[in-house]
Amino acid sequence: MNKPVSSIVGVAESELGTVTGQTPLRMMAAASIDALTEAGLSLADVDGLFTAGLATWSPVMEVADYLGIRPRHVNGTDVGGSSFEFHVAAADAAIAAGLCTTALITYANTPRQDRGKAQPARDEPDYTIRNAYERSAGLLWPDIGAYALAADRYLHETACTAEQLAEVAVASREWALLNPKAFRYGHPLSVADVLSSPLIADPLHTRDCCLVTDGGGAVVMTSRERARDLRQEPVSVVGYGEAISHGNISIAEDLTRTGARRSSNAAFAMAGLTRADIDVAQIYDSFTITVLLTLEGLGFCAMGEAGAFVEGGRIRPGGAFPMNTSGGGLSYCHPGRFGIFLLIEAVRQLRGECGPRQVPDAQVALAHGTGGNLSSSATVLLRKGAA
Amino acid sequence: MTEPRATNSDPEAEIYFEGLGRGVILLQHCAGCDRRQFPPRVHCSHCGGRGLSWDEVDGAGTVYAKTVNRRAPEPAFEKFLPYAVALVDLDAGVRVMARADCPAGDVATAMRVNVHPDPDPVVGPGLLFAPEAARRAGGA
Repeated sequence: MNKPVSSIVGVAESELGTVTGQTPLRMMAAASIDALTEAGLSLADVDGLFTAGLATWSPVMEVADYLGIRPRHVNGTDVGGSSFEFHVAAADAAIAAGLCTTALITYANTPRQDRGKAQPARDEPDYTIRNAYERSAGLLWPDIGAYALAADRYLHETACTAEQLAEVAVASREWALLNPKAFRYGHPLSVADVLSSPLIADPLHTRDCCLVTDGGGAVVMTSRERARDLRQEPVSVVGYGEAISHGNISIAEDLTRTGARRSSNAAFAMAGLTRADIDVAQIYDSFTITVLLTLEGLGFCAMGEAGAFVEGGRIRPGGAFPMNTSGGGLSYCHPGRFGIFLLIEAVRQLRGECGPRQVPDAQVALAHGTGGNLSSSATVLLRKGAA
Repeated sequence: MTEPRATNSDPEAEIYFEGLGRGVILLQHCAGCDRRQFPPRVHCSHCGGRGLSWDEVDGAGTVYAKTVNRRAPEPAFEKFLPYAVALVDLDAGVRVMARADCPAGDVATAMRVNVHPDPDPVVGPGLLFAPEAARRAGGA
């Protein structure tokens, strides 16, 4: 397998939280310009565009039109919340192949602003596996019912407790208390709070579930050679791996073993790194169960041991395994697809920009996206500097 | 959720749904690899073979995973709240998703259940399940 050739040279968020009076297009443009500007680049430099999730038939073309760019390479891969980790892999390969030199990955959505508003009909045909063979069972949709099934199976197979699941949400909140941009900044959370919040789909409580916020972000990539001349200290892409284990939850072979095993093995092999090299991890936390399953899949602990792994403050600020340092999808923001924010926070940690939540001397970061119904997994490994 | 768009159906799907309408579960069996599959397809998803035939199977199975919905995904299900939904591994060799037609609290992971076609579907044909003992006691 070839070695990666690219670096991340700019990252930015749009406004986050409850964002009224702005569309996802405007938020993507604002974040994109900020990310390009911090790199010393402009929209005119962008010749590769990567986006997913805008509610239109061709997000890449709609976003290109709004930005006012005419890219020579696009990629609209949409595998849910992890799409942007897949985009990093695709962008690195595209840069290596000479298909583009400056790749812009961007996303925004406004699910919070849109709550209660009439949405355009989802034009999903009735022959999809979900509509034809799952919908009649009445599983809570979107996604939470599927993750609840996984959590139920995990609690059945292992000694994990509801308290250990709750610890994931509490640790995220502890990090969010250090991040003024976090939606739950200033609002502490205890394990008892999580367990006393209403059950939505057993065994998942409200506080086991990610936020519903507005927001967006952008990530700019270019070749390592070109990155040396840009404004920011580059963050090198050193490894990545992707895996699709299933699409619909009823097709999943094993609800407790995610594609993170395959994607992370590929990423670590590409990078020539081991799990022990990771200084800070950003792990998709759509639900608390997502984190426990992913920690095992990534190989940071053995199967069935993630509940014990997260105990004792290990993943809280100051712990031995700093994780989801922004506050994550559980406490910072979650505008539908969170994966782009995993990359943004990983880069900022490696640059040392994170103030009170900075992990000291972070050199190597892992960002792992999980999308759909535990369906899509992508692992990205990043190293501070020009590698 | 909005009503899905009405579209074409496949001949294999029609056979399966016609069976549900008659109260039976029909599954495809592959002559090439001697395995069953669900959902129905034009090919065997295990080996790629096209030598598929249909078997009527009973609904005996084991709960692989379950959840209790405290909210409904669409209004048609509100009257059932709270209700259990499970992935059931049928003894016949496939996994299906089904809704419990027993109190949610009666469902446990790894318990033996019987799956049967929903005689009164609310959003389209599908499957229900109940604990094996309850079905037997009910004379089903």
